[in-house]
Amino acid sequence: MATTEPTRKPHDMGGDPAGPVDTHEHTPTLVERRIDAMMQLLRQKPRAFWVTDENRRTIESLTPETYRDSSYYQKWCLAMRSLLVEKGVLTDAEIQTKFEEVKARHSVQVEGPSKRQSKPKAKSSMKSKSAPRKKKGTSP
Amino acid sequence: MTHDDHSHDGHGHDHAHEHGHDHPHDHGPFQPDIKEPSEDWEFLEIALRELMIEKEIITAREIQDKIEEWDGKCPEMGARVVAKAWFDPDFKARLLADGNAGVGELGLEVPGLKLVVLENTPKLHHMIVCTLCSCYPRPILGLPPLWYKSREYRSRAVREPRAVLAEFGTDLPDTVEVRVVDSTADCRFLVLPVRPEGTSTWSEEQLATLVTRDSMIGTSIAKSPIRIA
Repeated sequence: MATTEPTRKPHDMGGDPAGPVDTHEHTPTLVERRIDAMMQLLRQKPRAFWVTDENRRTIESLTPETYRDSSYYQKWCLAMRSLLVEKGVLTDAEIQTKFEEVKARHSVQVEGPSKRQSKPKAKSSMKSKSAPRKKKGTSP
Repeated sequence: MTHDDHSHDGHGHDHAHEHGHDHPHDHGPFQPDIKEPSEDWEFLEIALRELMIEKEIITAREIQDKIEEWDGKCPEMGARVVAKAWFDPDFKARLLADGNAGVGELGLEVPGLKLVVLENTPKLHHMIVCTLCSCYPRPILGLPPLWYKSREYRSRAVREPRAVLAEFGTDLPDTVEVRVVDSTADCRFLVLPVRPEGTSTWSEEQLATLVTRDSMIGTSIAKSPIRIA
């Protein structure tokens, strides 16, 4: 109930009221499987940059809005970013630079000669249809 | 056919079907096999991956190998465990006493985690959840289904399990106690469903065909042999 809300973090949702379970099957997409694979490689030997609990702590430290509005692997991707910086594997600046470069590269493709791509339809297939997501709190 | 679209090079198709059409797009409906990245988190994934490969922190080959390793993990592995437990009471006893050692007999490993196998009976039904995140017996069942990680399942499984079970088409009589077990990062659960009636003469391989992923999560029961036969 409302009285217990302030003390609970966003991931601590056991017992909360919620809507019906969407039991549709979803085959993990390539990007989801890549994030999963990278997170394992970074956590496991020989790298072992962090342990599972640090991974969880990072996800649980996302703002309630980001936690609520992000898909599962979106949260993992944000966690991977902050852990890589925290552990000194990559720097914040180089990630930001690379991110802008990647985004510009793909924006050119989307708005390039092939106009048929210009209509953004069918958002990421991993989105649940229950809530239209706002893109906020996801800036890298 | 317009010639500014290079994505179709090497297609080896003929365009007889297009004559008489005046479409600005040449090939009719075309859906790319892989969706172009369009969201910030997708660009971030690419950026992190490219940076780590450039800096030789990780190789593209390793990522691909890891993806393939996990593509190969599926509920059929868990089904083998369950079928063996149904078929061999001694194995079942060992599996229930020590999940890791039990699945190890089938060559399966749950590295770094404690595996506990929970036996369902005609009087007791277990159902697993991870209310805090997504902990799941991944090494035995593969990646968890999307709904297992959903707010709805995580929130409600511990509050109104029978209502959740009903949404999976699982209606248990009131005489069956429902016990919901919350997983942790260090301890994973696997449900051993009730062996269906009418399978006393079945082989281990035949029994495995009755075991579904959801029956090992506890949102469902094993398939009935009547529906199979």
